[in-house]
Amino acid sequence: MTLAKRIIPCLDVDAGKVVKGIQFQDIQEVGDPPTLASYYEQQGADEVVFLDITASVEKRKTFLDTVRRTAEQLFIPLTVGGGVSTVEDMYTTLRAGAEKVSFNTAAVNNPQLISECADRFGSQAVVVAIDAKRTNGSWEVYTHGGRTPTGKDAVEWTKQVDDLGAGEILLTSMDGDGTKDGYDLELTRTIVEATSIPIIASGGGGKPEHLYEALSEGKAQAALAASIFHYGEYTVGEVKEFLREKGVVVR
Amino acid sequence: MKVTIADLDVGNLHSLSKALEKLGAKVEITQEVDRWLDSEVLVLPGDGAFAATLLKVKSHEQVLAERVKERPTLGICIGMQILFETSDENSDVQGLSVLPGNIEKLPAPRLPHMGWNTLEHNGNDLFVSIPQGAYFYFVHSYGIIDTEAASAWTDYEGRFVSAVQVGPTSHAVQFHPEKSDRWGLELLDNFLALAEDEL
Repeated sequence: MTLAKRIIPCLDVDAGKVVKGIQFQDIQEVGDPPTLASYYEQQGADEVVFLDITASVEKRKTFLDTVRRTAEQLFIPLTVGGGVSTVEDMYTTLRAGAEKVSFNTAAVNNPQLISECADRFGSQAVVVAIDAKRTNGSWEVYTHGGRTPTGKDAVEWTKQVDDLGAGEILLTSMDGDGTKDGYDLELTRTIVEATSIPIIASGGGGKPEHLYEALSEGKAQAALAASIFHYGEYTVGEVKEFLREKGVVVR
Repeated sequence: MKVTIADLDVGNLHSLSKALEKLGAKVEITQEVDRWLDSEVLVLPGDGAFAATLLKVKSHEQVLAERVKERPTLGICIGMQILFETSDENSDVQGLSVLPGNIEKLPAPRLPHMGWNTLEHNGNDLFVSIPQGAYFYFVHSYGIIDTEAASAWTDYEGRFVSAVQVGPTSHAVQFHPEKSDRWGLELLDNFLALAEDEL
Protein backbone atom coordinates (compact mmCIF):
# COMPACT_ATOMS: atom_id res chain seq x y z
CA MET A 1 0.00 0.00 0.00
CA THR A 2 1.47 3.28 -1.04
CA LEU A 3 0.54 6.51 -2.72
CA ALA A 4 0.43 6.00 -6.50
CA LYS A 5 2.27 8.25 -8.95
CA ARG A 6 -0.24 10.30 -10.93
CA ILE A 7 -0.58 10.70 -14.71
CA ILE A 8 -2.33 13.91 -15.70
CA PRO A 9 -3.45 14.91 -19.20
CA CYS A 10 -3.69 18.67 -19.78
CA LEU A 11 -6.05 20.46 -22.18
CA ASP A 12 -5.68 24.04 -23.44
CA VAL A 13 -9.16 25.53 -23.63
CA ASP A 14 -10.20 28.66 -25.54
CA ALA A 15 -13.81 29.90 -25.46
CA GLY A 16 -15.13 26.52 -24.40
CA LYS A 17 -13.26 24.53 -27.02
CA VAL A 18 -10.03 22.57 -26.92
CA VAL A 19 -7.48 24.67 -28.81
CA LYS A 20 -6.36 22.03 -31.24
CA GLY A 21 -8.95 19.45 -32.13
CA ILE A 22 -7.85 16.13 -30.81
CA GLN A 23 -7.67 13.04 -32.93
CA PHE A 24 -8.29 9.72 -31.25
CA GLN A 25 -7.80 6.46 -33.07
CA ASP A 26 -11.38 5.35 -32.84
CA ILE A 27 -13.40 8.55 -33.02
CA GLN A 28 -13.74 11.74 -35.02
CA GLU A 29 -11.87 14.84 -34.01
CA VAL A 30 -13.25 16.09 -30.72
CA GLY A 31 -13.10 19.66 -29.47
CA ASP A 32 -15.47 19.44 -26.54
CA PRO A 33 -13.55 19.55 -23.21
CA PRO A 34 -16.09 17.59 -21.11
CA THR A 35 -16.14 14.77 -23.66
CA LEU A 36 -12.35 14.62 -23.78
CA ALA A 37 -12.00 14.73 -20.00
CA SER A 38 -14.32 11.73 -19.76
CA TYR A 39 -12.29 9.83 -22.37
CA TYR A 40 -9.19 10.37 -20.30
CA GLU A 41 -11.01 9.29 -17.16
CA GLN A 42 -11.99 6.04 -18.90
CA GLN A 43 -8.38 5.53 -19.98
CA GLY A 44 -7.28 5.71 -16.34
CA ALA A 45 -6.15 9.33 -15.98
CA ASP A 46 -5.68 10.25 -12.31
CA GLU A 47 -6.66 13.89 -12.76
CA VAL A 48 -7.31 16.30 -15.61
CA VAL A 49 -5.97 19.85 -15.96
CA PHE A 50 -7.76 22.56 -17.97
CA LEU A 51 -5.77 25.60 -18.88
CA ASP A 52 -7.90 28.59 -19.91
CA ILE A 53 -5.97 30.51 -22.54
CA THR A 54 -8.82 32.96 -23.10
CA ALA A 55 -8.06 36.62 -22.68
CA SER A 56 -11.46 38.29 -22.48
CA VAL A 57 -13.92 38.52 -19.63
CA GLU A 58 -16.95 37.38 -21.64
CA LYS A 59 -15.14 34.27 -22.73
CA ARG A 60 -14.32 33.60 -19.10
CA LYS A 61 -18.02 32.92 -18.48
CA THR A 62 -18.02 30.41 -21.30
CA PHE A 63 -14.99 28.76 -19.75
CA LEU A 64 -16.63 28.47 -16.31
CA ASP A 65 -19.63 26.93 -18.00
CA THR A 66 -17.25 24.41 -19.59
CA VAL A 67 -15.83 23.62 -16.14
CA ARG A 68 -19.37 23.12 -14.83
CA ARG A 69 -20.36 20.80 -17.67
CA THR A 70 -17.15 18.81 -17.19
CA ALA A 71 -17.49 18.45 -13.42
CA GLU A 72 -21.01 17.10 -13.85
CA GLN A 73 -19.74 13.95 -15.47
CA LEU A 74 -16.15 13.68 -14.28
CA PHE A 75 -15.48 11.66 -11.14
CA ILE A 76 -11.76 12.29 -10.85
CA PRO A 77 -10.19 15.60 -9.77
CA LEU A 78 -10.16 18.56 -12.14
CA THR A 79 -7.57 21.32 -11.80
CA VAL A 80 -8.26 24.62 -13.52
CA GLY A 81 -5.69 27.28 -14.33
CA GLY A 82 -5.37 30.43 -16.40
CA GLY A 83 -6.97 33.80 -15.82
CA VAL A 84 -7.45 33.28 -12.08
CA SER A 85 -6.11 36.24 -10.15
CA THR A 86 -8.21 36.86 -7.01
CA VAL A 87 -9.72 34.99 -4.06
CA GLU A 88 -13.11 35.63 -5.64
CA ASP A 89 -11.98 34.11 -8.97
CA MET A 90 -10.89 31.03 -7.07
CA TYR A 91 -14.23 30.81 -5.29
CA THR A 92 -16.25 30.92 -8.52
CA THR A 93 -13.93 28.38 -10.15
CA LEU A 94 -14.27 25.95 -7.23
CA ARG A 95 -18.01 26.40 -7.12
CA ALA A 96 -18.15 25.64 -10.83
CA GLY A 97 -16.71 22.23 -9.98
CA ALA A 98 -12.91 22.46 -10.00
CA GLU A 99 -11.11 20.55 -7.27
CA LYS A 100 -8.00 22.69 -7.41
CA VAL A 101 -7.15 26.06 -8.89
CA SER A 102 -3.77 26.91 -10.35
CA PHE A 103 -2.13 30.36 -10.12
CA ASN A 104 0.82 31.52 -12.17
CA THR A 105 1.34 35.20 -13.04
CA ALA A 106 -1.05 36.38 -10.30
CA ALA A 107 0.98 34.55 -7.63
CA VAL A 108 4.24 36.11 -8.80
CA ASN A 109 2.67 39.59 -8.83
CA ASN A 110 1.05 39.10 -5.43
CA PRO A 111 2.51 36.21 -3.40
CA GLN A 112 0.10 36.96 -0.51
CA LEU A 113 -2.68 35.70 -2.75
CA ILE A 114 -1.37 32.16 -2.14
CA SER A 115 -1.81 32.38 1.64
CA GLU A 116 -5.13 34.20 1.35
CA CYS A 117 -6.51 31.42 -0.85
CA ALA A 118 -4.97 28.68 1.32
CA ASP A 119 -6.56 30.20 4.45
CA ARG A 120 -9.94 30.49 2.77
CA PHE A 121 -10.12 27.21 0.85
CA GLY A 122 -7.35 25.06 2.32
CA SER A 123 -3.89 24.41 0.93
CA GLN A 124 -5.09 21.29 -0.84
CA ALA A 125 -6.99 23.42 -3.39
CA VAL A 126 -4.15 25.83 -4.19
CA VAL A 127 -1.76 24.92 -6.98
CA VAL A 128 1.01 27.26 -8.08
CA ALA A 129 2.19 26.84 -11.66
CA ILE A 130 5.81 27.77 -12.22
CA ASP A 131 7.28 28.20 -15.70
CA ALA A 132 11.05 27.89 -15.45
CA LYS A 133 13.75 28.44 -18.05
CA ARG A 134 17.46 27.64 -17.80
CA THR A 135 19.67 30.71 -17.58
CA ASN A 136 23.36 30.64 -16.66
CA GLY A 137 23.32 27.46 -14.65
CA SER A 138 20.10 28.11 -12.77
CA TRP A 139 16.41 28.46 -13.63
CA GLU A 140 14.48 31.69 -13.98
CA VAL A 141 10.72 32.10 -13.45
CA TYR A 142 8.72 33.40 -16.42
CA THR A 143 5.14 34.70 -16.38
CA HIS A 144 2.42 35.63 -18.89
CA GLY A 145 2.50 32.26 -20.60
CA GLY A 146 6.28 32.23 -20.76
CA ARG A 147 6.68 35.66 -22.34
CA THR A 148 7.93 37.70 -19.38
CA PRO A 149 11.16 37.01 -17.47
CA THR A 150 10.84 37.94 -13.80
CA GLY A 151 14.43 37.74 -12.55
CA LYS A 152 13.20 35.34 -9.84
CA ASP A 153 15.15 32.16 -9.18
CA ALA A 154 12.82 29.17 -9.64
CA VAL A 155 14.16 27.20 -6.67
CA GLU A 156 13.86 30.17 -4.31
CA TRP A 157 10.38 30.97 -5.61
CA THR A 158 9.32 27.36 -5.10
CA LYS A 159 10.43 27.42 -1.46
CA GLN A 160 8.53 30.66 -0.94
CA VAL A 161 5.40 29.22 -2.52
CA ASP A 162 5.67 26.19 -0.23
CA ASP A 163 6.03 28.45 2.84
CA LEU A 164 3.05 30.57 1.78
CA GLY A 165 0.79 27.53 1.94
CA ALA A 166 0.42 26.19 -1.60
CA GLY A 167 -0.66 22.55 -1.70
CA GLU A 168 1.06 21.58 -4.92
CA ILE A 169 3.38 22.89 -7.63
CA LEU A 170 2.89 22.44 -11.34
CA LEU A 171 6.43 22.79 -12.62
CA THR A 172 6.90 23.41 -16.33
CA SER A 173 10.29 23.40 -17.98
CA MET A 174 10.05 25.96 -20.76
CA ASP A 175 13.11 24.45 -22.39
CA GLY A 176 11.34 21.11 -22.61
CA ASP A 177 7.83 22.36 -23.36
CA GLY A 178 6.62 21.33 -26.78
CA THR A 179 9.88 19.57 -27.70
CA LYS A 180 8.83 16.02 -26.74
CA ASP A 181 12.49 15.49 -25.85
CA GLY A 182 11.83 14.64 -22.23
CA TYR A 183 11.33 16.52 -18.97
CA ASP A 184 14.09 18.62 -17.40
CA LEU A 185 15.04 16.00 -14.82
CA GLU A 186 17.61 18.12 -13.05
CA LEU A 187 15.12 20.95 -12.57
CA THR A 188 12.41 18.54 -11.41
CA ARG A 189 14.64 16.74 -8.92
CA THR A 190 16.09 20.00 -7.58
CA ILE A 191 12.61 21.39 -6.93
CA VAL A 192 11.31 18.15 -5.41
CA GLU A 193 14.24 18.06 -3.00
CA ALA A 194 13.83 21.74 -2.08
CA THR A 195 10.15 21.43 -1.10
CA SER A 196 7.77 19.46 1.12
CA ILE A 197 4.67 19.48 -1.10
CA PRO A 198 3.78 17.38 -4.18
CA ILE A 199 5.39 18.37 -7.50
CA ILE A 200 3.84 17.77 -10.93
CA ALA A 201 6.49 17.60 -13.67
CA SER A 202 5.53 19.19 -16.98
CA GLY A 203 7.10 20.16 -20.28
CA GLY A 204 8.75 17.76 -22.70
CA GLY A 205 6.90 14.48 -22.21
CA GLY A 206 6.88 12.83 -25.64
CA LYS A 207 6.94 9.09 -24.89
CA PRO A 208 6.33 6.74 -21.95
CA GLU A 209 10.06 6.61 -21.08
CA HIS A 210 9.98 10.36 -20.43
CA LEU A 211 7.18 10.05 -17.90
CA TYR A 212 9.06 7.19 -16.27
CA GLU A 213 12.20 9.34 -15.98
CA ALA A 214 10.26 12.27 -14.46
CA LEU A 215 8.73 9.99 -11.80
CA SER A 216 11.90 7.99 -11.01
CA GLU A 217 15.06 10.02 -11.65
CA GLY A 218 13.14 13.31 -11.40
CA LYS A 219 11.37 12.10 -8.23
CA ALA A 220 8.13 13.94 -9.14
CA GLN A 221 4.84 12.88 -7.54
CA ALA A 222 2.98 13.29 -10.83
CA ALA A 223 3.67 13.80 -14.53
CA LEU A 224 1.60 16.02 -16.79
CA ALA A 225 1.53 15.64 -20.56
CA ALA A 226 -0.54 16.91 -23.45
CA SER A 227 0.29 15.96 -27.03
CA ILE A 228 1.42 12.41 -26.24
CA PHE A 229 -2.19 11.69 -25.29
CA HIS A 230 -4.01 14.11 -27.57
CA TYR A 231 -2.81 12.66 -30.84
CA GLY A 232 -3.55 9.08 -29.89
CA GLU A 233 0.14 8.14 -29.82
CA TYR A 234 -0.39 6.48 -26.46
CA THR A 235 -3.39 6.10 -24.21
CA VAL A 236 -3.07 6.90 -20.51
CA GLY A 237 -3.57 3.17 -19.93
CA GLU A 238 -0.63 2.26 -22.15
CA VAL A 239 1.64 4.71 -20.38
CA LYS A 240 0.56 3.30 -17.01
CA GLU A 241 1.18 -0.25 -18.19
CA PHE A 242 4.69 0.78 -19.20
CA LEU A 243 5.27 2.39 -15.80
CA ARG A 244 3.92 -0.67 -13.97
CA GLU A 245 6.35 -2.92 -15.82
CA LYS A 246 9.14 -0.59 -14.72
CA GLY A 247 8.07 -1.00 -11.10
CA VAL A 248 6.36 2.37 -10.64
CA VAL A 249 3.23 2.24 -8.45
CA VAL A 250 0.28 3.51 -10.50
CA ARG A 251 -3.45 3.12 -10.05
CA MET B 1 -34.49 9.59 -1.61
CA LYS B 2 -33.54 13.10 -0.60
CA VAL B 3 -29.97 13.78 0.47
CA THR B 4 -29.00 17.02 2.17
CA ILE B 5 -25.47 18.31 1.62
CA ALA B 6 -24.26 20.66 4.33
CA ASP B 7 -22.84 23.65 2.46
CA LEU B 8 -19.85 24.89 4.44
CA ASP B 9 -19.22 27.48 1.73
CA VAL B 10 -15.71 26.30 1.02
CA GLY B 11 -14.91 24.06 -1.89
CA ASN B 12 -16.50 22.21 -4.73
CA LEU B 13 -19.90 20.65 -3.96
CA HIS B 14 -20.85 20.33 -7.60
CA SER B 15 -19.12 16.98 -8.14
CA LEU B 16 -20.57 15.53 -4.94
CA SER B 17 -24.13 16.52 -5.79
CA LYS B 18 -23.78 15.27 -9.36
CA ALA B 19 -22.40 11.95 -8.15
CA LEU B 20 -25.35 11.50 -5.76
CA GLU B 21 -27.82 12.50 -8.47
CA LYS B 22 -26.26 10.05 -10.89
CA LEU B 23 -27.00 7.36 -8.28
CA GLY B 24 -30.65 8.39 -8.13
CA ALA B 25 -30.76 10.70 -5.11
CA LYS B 26 -32.53 14.05 -4.95
CA VAL B 27 -29.99 16.52 -3.66
CA GLU B 28 -30.47 19.63 -1.54
CA ILE B 29 -27.48 21.87 -0.84
CA THR B 30 -28.00 24.25 2.06
CA GLN B 31 -26.14 26.45 4.51
CA GLU B 32 -29.02 26.36 7.05
CA VAL B 33 -28.04 24.24 10.03
CA ASP B 34 -31.70 23.55 10.86
CA ARG B 35 -32.13 21.81 7.53
CA TRP B 36 -29.08 19.65 8.26
CA LEU B 37 -30.63 18.64 11.57
CA ASP B 38 -34.00 17.81 10.01
CA SER B 39 -32.57 15.98 7.02
CA GLU B 40 -33.36 12.37 6.23
CA VAL B 41 -29.89 11.69 4.91
CA LEU B 42 -27.02 14.07 5.58
CA VAL B 43 -23.65 14.47 3.90
CA LEU B 44 -21.02 16.55 5.68
CA PRO B 45 -18.42 17.34 3.03
CA GLY B 46 -15.49 19.61 3.49
CA ASP B 47 -12.23 20.92 2.30
CA GLY B 48 -10.45 23.55 4.26
CA ALA B 49 -9.49 23.86 7.88
CA PHE B 50 -10.87 22.23 11.05
CA ALA B 51 -11.72 25.50 12.82
CA ALA B 52 -13.21 27.24 9.77
CA THR B 53 -15.48 24.28 9.19
CA LEU B 54 -16.66 24.14 12.79
CA LEU B 55 -17.38 27.85 12.71
CA LYS B 56 -20.30 27.07 10.41
CA VAL B 57 -21.96 24.82 12.99
CA LYS B 58 -21.36 27.15 15.89
CA SER B 59 -23.73 26.70 18.84
CA HIS B 60 -25.31 23.62 17.22
CA GLU B 61 -22.50 21.20 18.00
CA GLN B 62 -24.41 19.01 20.38
CA VAL B 63 -27.61 18.62 18.35
CA LEU B 64 -25.62 18.00 15.23
CA ALA B 65 -23.56 15.34 17.01
CA GLU B 66 -26.78 13.59 18.07
CA ARG B 67 -28.12 13.82 14.52
CA VAL B 68 -24.96 12.32 13.11
CA LYS B 69 -25.01 9.36 15.49
CA GLU B 70 -28.66 8.49 15.10
CA ARG B 71 -29.63 9.00 11.47
CA PRO B 72 -27.90 8.26 8.12
CA THR B 73 -24.88 10.52 7.75
CA LEU B 74 -21.74 10.45 5.65
CA GLY B 75 -18.77 12.63 6.60
CA ILE B 76 -16.15 13.33 3.95
CA CYS B 77 -12.56 14.56 4.56
CA ILE B 78 -12.86 17.47 7.04
CA GLY B 79 -16.44 16.23 7.48
CA MET B 80 -14.86 13.16 9.07
CA GLN B 81 -12.26 15.03 11.12
CA ILE B 82 -14.77 17.36 12.82
CA LEU B 83 -16.51 14.30 14.31
CA PHE B 84 -13.57 13.89 16.70
CA GLU B 85 -12.80 15.90 19.84
CA THR B 86 -9.77 17.93 18.85
CA SER B 87 -7.27 18.56 16.08
CA ASP B 88 -3.65 19.62 16.08
CA GLU B 89 -4.57 21.85 13.14
CA ASN B 90 -6.50 24.23 15.44
CA SER B 91 -5.86 23.14 19.02
CA ASP B 92 -8.09 25.80 20.62
CA VAL B 93 -11.27 24.56 18.92
CA GLN B 94 -13.51 21.73 20.13
CA GLY B 95 -14.83 19.26 17.54
CA LEU B 96 -18.29 17.68 17.52
CA SER B 97 -16.92 14.92 19.77
CA VAL B 98 -19.10 12.19 18.29
CA LEU B 99 -16.00 10.02 18.59
CA PRO B 100 -13.15 10.29 21.09
CA GLY B 101 -9.71 11.17 19.78
CA ASN B 102 -7.39 13.83 18.43
CA ILE B 103 -6.67 14.55 14.76
CA GLU B 104 -2.92 14.64 14.16
CA LYS B 105 -0.66 15.83 11.39
CA LEU B 106 0.36 12.80 9.35
CA PRO B 107 3.94 11.71 10.08
CA ALA B 108 5.04 12.03 6.45
CA PRO B 109 7.74 14.31 5.02
CA ARG B 110 5.66 15.40 2.04
CA LEU B 111 2.18 16.81 2.67
CA PRO B 112 -0.64 17.05 1.70
CA HIS B 113 -1.10 13.33 1.16
CA MET B 114 -2.47 14.01 -2.32
CA GLY B 115 -3.52 11.45 -4.87
CA TRP B 116 -4.66 7.86 -5.19
CA ASN B 117 -4.00 5.39 -2.43
CA THR B 118 -5.38 2.00 -1.46
CA LEU B 119 -7.22 0.89 1.64
CA GLU B 120 -7.94 -2.24 3.63
CA HIS B 121 -11.42 -2.37 5.15
CA ASN B 122 -13.47 -4.48 7.57
CA GLY B 123 -16.20 -5.32 5.06
CA ASN B 124 -19.01 -3.35 6.72
CA ASP B 125 -22.09 -2.10 4.83
CA LEU B 126 -20.21 0.81 3.31
CA PHE B 127 -17.43 -1.35 1.86
CA VAL B 128 -19.31 -4.60 1.32
CA SER B 129 -18.94 -4.64 -2.48
CA ILE B 130 -15.51 -3.01 -2.64
CA PRO B 131 -12.36 -5.12 -3.06
CA GLN B 132 -9.52 -4.90 -0.57
CA GLY B 133 -6.78 -2.70 -1.99
CA ALA B 134 -9.15 -0.57 -4.08
CA TYR B 135 -7.85 2.93 -4.89
CA PHE B 136 -9.45 6.14 -3.58
CA TYR B 137 -8.54 9.81 -4.00
CA PHE B 138 -7.08 11.51 -0.91
CA VAL B 139 -6.16 15.14 -0.22
CA HIS B 140 -5.31 15.93 3.40
CA SER B 141 -2.46 16.65 5.78
CA TYR B 142 -4.18 15.67 9.03
CA GLY B 143 -5.92 12.47 10.04
CA ILE B 144 -6.86 10.08 12.82
CA ILE B 145 -4.06 7.60 13.44
CA ASP B 146 -6.06 5.09 15.45
CA THR B 147 -9.61 4.73 16.79
CA GLU B 148 -11.88 1.89 17.84
CA ALA B 149 -14.43 3.13 15.30
CA ALA B 150 -12.04 2.43 12.38
CA SER B 151 -13.47 0.55 9.41
CA ALA B 152 -10.65 1.13 6.88
CA TRP B 153 -6.92 1.82 6.99
CA THR B 154 -4.43 3.35 4.55
CA ASP B 155 -0.67 3.64 4.54
CA TYR B 156 1.22 6.81 3.71
CA GLU B 157 4.64 6.58 5.34
CA GLY B 158 2.70 5.12 8.27
CA ARG B 159 -0.77 3.71 8.82
CA PHE B 160 -3.78 5.92 9.49
CA VAL B 161 -7.54 5.43 9.62
CA SER B 162 -9.23 6.15 6.29
CA ALA B 163 -12.84 5.43 7.36
CA VAL B 164 -14.88 5.13 10.54
CA GLN B 165 -18.33 3.87 11.46
CA VAL B 166 -20.04 6.46 13.62
CA GLY B 167 -23.48 4.91 14.18
CA PRO B 168 -25.70 2.15 12.77
CA THR B 169 -26.10 4.02 9.46
CA SER B 170 -23.49 6.72 9.86
CA HIS B 171 -20.01 6.62 8.41
CA ALA B 172 -17.17 8.97 7.61
CA VAL B 173 -14.30 8.72 5.16
CA GLN B 174 -11.03 10.61 4.87
CA PHE B 175 -10.88 10.31 1.07
CA HIS B 176 -13.16 11.88 -1.55
CA PRO B 177 -15.58 9.25 -2.89
CA GLU B 178 -17.05 11.80 -5.33
CA LYS B 179 -13.61 12.07 -6.97
CA SER B 180 -12.64 8.41 -6.66
CA ASP B 181 -13.94 7.14 -9.99
CA ARG B 182 -15.59 3.71 -10.00
CA TRP B 183 -15.07 2.60 -6.39
CA GLY B 184 -16.00 6.02 -5.07
CA LEU B 185 -19.35 5.85 -6.81
CA GLU B 186 -19.78 2.30 -5.56
CA LEU B 187 -19.20 3.48 -1.98
CA LEU B 188 -21.71 6.32 -2.33
CA ASP B 189 -24.19 3.83 -3.76
CA ASN B 190 -23.63 1.55 -0.74
CA PHE B 191 -24.23 4.49 1.57
CA LEU B 192 -27.48 5.38 -0.18
CA ALA B 193 -28.58 1.74 0.05
CA LEU B 194 -27.99 1.52 3.78
CA ALA B 195 -29.71 4.87 4.30
CA GLU B 196 -32.67 3.61 2.24
CA ASP B 197 -32.94 0.52 4.45
CA GLU B 198 -33.05 2.73 7.51
CA LEU B 199 -35.82 5.02 6.22
